[in-house]
Amino acid sequence: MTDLVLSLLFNGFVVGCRYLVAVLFFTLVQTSIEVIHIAYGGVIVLAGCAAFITIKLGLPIWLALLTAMLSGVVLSTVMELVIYRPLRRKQASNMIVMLVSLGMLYIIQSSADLILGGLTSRLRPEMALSFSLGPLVITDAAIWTMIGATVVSISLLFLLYGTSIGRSLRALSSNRQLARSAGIDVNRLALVVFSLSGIGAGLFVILEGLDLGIRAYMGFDIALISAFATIIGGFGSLSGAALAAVLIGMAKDTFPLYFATVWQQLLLYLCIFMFMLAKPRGFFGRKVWKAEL
Amino acid sequence: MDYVFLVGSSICIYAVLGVCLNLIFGYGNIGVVCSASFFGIGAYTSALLTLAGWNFFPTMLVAIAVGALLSMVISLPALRVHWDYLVIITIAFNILMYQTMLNLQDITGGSFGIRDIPPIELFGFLFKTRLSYFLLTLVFAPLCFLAVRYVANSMYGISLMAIGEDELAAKSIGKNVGLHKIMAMAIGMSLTAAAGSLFSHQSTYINCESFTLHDTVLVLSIMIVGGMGNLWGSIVGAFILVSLPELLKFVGMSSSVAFRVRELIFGLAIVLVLMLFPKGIMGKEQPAEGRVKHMLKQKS
Amino acid sequence: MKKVQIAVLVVLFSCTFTVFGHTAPATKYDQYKIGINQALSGPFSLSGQAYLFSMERAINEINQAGGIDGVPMKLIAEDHKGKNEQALSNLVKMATIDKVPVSIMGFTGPMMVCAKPAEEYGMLLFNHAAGMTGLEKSIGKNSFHIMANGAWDLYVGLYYAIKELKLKRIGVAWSNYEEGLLSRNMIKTIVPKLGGSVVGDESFPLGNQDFSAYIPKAKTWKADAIYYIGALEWIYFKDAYDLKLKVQQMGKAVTMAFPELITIYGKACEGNLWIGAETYGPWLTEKGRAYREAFKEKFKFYPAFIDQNLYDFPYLMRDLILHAKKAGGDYYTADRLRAALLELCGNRDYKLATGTSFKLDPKTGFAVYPFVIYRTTYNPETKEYYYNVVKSYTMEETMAIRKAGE
Repeated sequence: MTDLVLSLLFNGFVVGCRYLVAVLFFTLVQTSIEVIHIAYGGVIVLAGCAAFITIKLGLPIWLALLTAMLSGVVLSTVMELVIYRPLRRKQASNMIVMLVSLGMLYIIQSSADLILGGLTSRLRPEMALSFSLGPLVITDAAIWTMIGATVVSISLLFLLYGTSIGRSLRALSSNRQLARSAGIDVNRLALVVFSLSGIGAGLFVILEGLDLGIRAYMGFDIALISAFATIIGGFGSLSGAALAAVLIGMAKDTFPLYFATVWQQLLLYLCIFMFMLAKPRGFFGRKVWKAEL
Repeated sequence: MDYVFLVGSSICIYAVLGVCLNLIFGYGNIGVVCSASFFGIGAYTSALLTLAGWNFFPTMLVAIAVGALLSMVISLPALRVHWDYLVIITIAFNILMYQTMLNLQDITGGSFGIRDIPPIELFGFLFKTRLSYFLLTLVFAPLCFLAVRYVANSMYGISLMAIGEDELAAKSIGKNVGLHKIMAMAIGMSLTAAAGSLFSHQSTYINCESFTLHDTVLVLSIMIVGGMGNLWGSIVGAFILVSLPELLKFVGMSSSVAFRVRELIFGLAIVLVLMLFPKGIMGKEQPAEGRVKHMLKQKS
Repeated sequence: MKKVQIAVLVVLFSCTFTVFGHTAPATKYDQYKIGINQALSGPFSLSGQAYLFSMERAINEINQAGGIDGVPMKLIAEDHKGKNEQALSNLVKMATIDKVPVSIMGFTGPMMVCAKPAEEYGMLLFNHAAGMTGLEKSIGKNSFHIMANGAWDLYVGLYYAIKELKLKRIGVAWSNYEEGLLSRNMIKTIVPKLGGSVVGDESFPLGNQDFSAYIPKAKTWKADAIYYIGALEWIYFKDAYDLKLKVQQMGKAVTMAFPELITIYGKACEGNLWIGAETYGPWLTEKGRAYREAFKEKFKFYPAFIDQNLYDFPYLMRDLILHAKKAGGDYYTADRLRAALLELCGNRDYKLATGTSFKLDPKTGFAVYPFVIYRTTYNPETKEYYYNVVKSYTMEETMAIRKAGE
């Protein structure tokens, strides 16, 4: 039994690390420009299509990673310039922005369906390299995922606390009005943040595509999990979101201890709901809810 | 002609869904993205009860009650968290309901669904043919429409629209925002469930695949295409979006392309319409709009 | 929008519809129309293109050989994408507007929705890719299951595993869709009857990709064999290999329709047993061979039974039409074709164009086939994996095996 528990906890931890890669960028967008970027799922899907095409052309995986990141950046930038910036200018409500984001996600996924078809596409044909460590079986994809999560976390930490852009982002997230009156250019920062999220999307999709595969409709899932991780972690807190992402992954893989695997998603959402009711501020939410009631 | 009746009854039912969502979303500006779940709950309720021997009409009443109660499951927590994030909560709720319908096999039959649902019987008449069912929906839809319109034009409806327009202002003239929103959701979702109860008798079989997030987005697009805040618009929206793939079949476009076209239209409709009218509500019917402005002026 | 404009639009649309609703077709003896109402695209389609290819190939061959007594056959294809309402609307269109008396019908939900309407409109439905066991009463007298019944492979496979390979501890990994649910329930009754025991039973969502939680659980069962019933989760085998789940894996031969299982995951599936009705083997005809090679050339992998069955179908229809024609009168109707079907195939061996024979049980409308067990094997010369026939049972043996497990 302990073997099972250890295996599930470890596998769940790996899943959580993979979520973390997407969640951190999602939360970064939310904390700095207050957009629940549901369309991020679409960026991920598009990056996946780019990776898929690269692999289909016979090119190596690291090149697929680059094309995925590049297309992620391009699409995110387009989204910011064509959709989010005009909406920001018109001071559209959060809800409208979320709906438009949802619409964009839908358009991208429907289009991706035409490219990828109904089936899943994996990025590498070979089996994973795996080795046993006691009761655990560790695959190379798991190692890459953990490395990726670490790299992303450290990079974002450095960005936020070691660069001037980071300082501006932190200022923006703690008090937007004040930051703007201090001369911080929201539009420029938005571009930076969205571009970064595009890079993150590329990385995420490669990690997911190694063993799980790229599907045209995978955007919904990861967008929702990212949104919930942001809420659970507490708005304005990247560390909270990171913790939430890992916990979500581990919870997802621990439910099968007592329930069939088929209940994973349902139980996960149920737990998330109940958590949100119990602690609407999340783990480390330091911001009071906005005055716009 | 049976084909026309079938499509026609679908249009009527989806028009009701669009109108109900419009009350919540278009008037009250409450972001609810889970119409298909309540539609499904109404359908399963009616299917199971009629199989247990109940007459149809009481099952519709039960569906309405269940819809209203269940809507509070989402609206009450939204009071605590934040109304804006209801969009995400309801998307998750939609997925949750779908998973529940799929996995509670003993009750819902899972992916197997419920079969041999008896046809509707009212006043001794059996609604077995396509024509009779179509006529029934043709009566049901306008009744729902009139009910929603009555609510929308009532004092409550005007207050709701005021809240949707400018929440702070509405609050300052003493409107209980939370209560209005909860009631809007209860009314809208219970009628959606009623439509679901009717839907389960369109054929003798239902399963959870008719109540996915995809179907909710269809209802969302119907509302948006027709115009948020415009109840007649939802009827037109239902007409267009339900009949489009059918019509495309006749002009030689294969079904799969027609469906992709419709899906792309969903997304484009939502994005384009909302982008061009970011304040959300457009095309409101004139008399109501005037009364809202009048009410909001009263605060000063 | 002004009310007048709306009214005009409504009237316009209604007129368009009514016009189309009344389109008079060519007389039905100019062309024999057969239909297919399947999930041709979308998340539920295994391969809509493969289905169309198979049916169209057969129809072209028949028409090029002069048709059926000079009359060509025509395919009316509709896509329901797995949605019940769409399947129903397709059926009503096919029945009332295109006036098609016979159609292939795919997937359980759509089949259930269309079964009664098919009786009302006078249309024969031939089931394809749906799990139908236990539903005989609900599908009415116009629904038939010419494809190998999805449940028979369970009897055969479990018999082979328990009685011949002496693997007594059986686990079940099933995808949460109707086939999975039905199969799991049946496995739980069959296995004890054959002297084995069900040591584990786990379901996952349809299309699941992440088995990182399932595999450790399956390891605790310490099963001799695990029966996999799924539709889109062939990545299960890869995960089982990566995470080192060492057990005899078995599955339905319909899973062989996924080319990845042989082209990409051959290694992960090496040694797996697949049970299904005869697809290919020494009984394959010249026509069948040509079809398989043409299919491989187009799609880069061989067809599975599910595709091959659609190639056989137009030929079966040709035989039914010719048979019904002999009695004269208005023979291209559901009733006359049903009579022909029962006369040619009811409790009688009927040989399909590709060489496999089946027998139709008139009581249930289900077909009985001889069954075959394939194993994923490595060919060191071609350096490729392929499906090797390791055991085959005649129709009589299959029926006896079924009795043993009931």
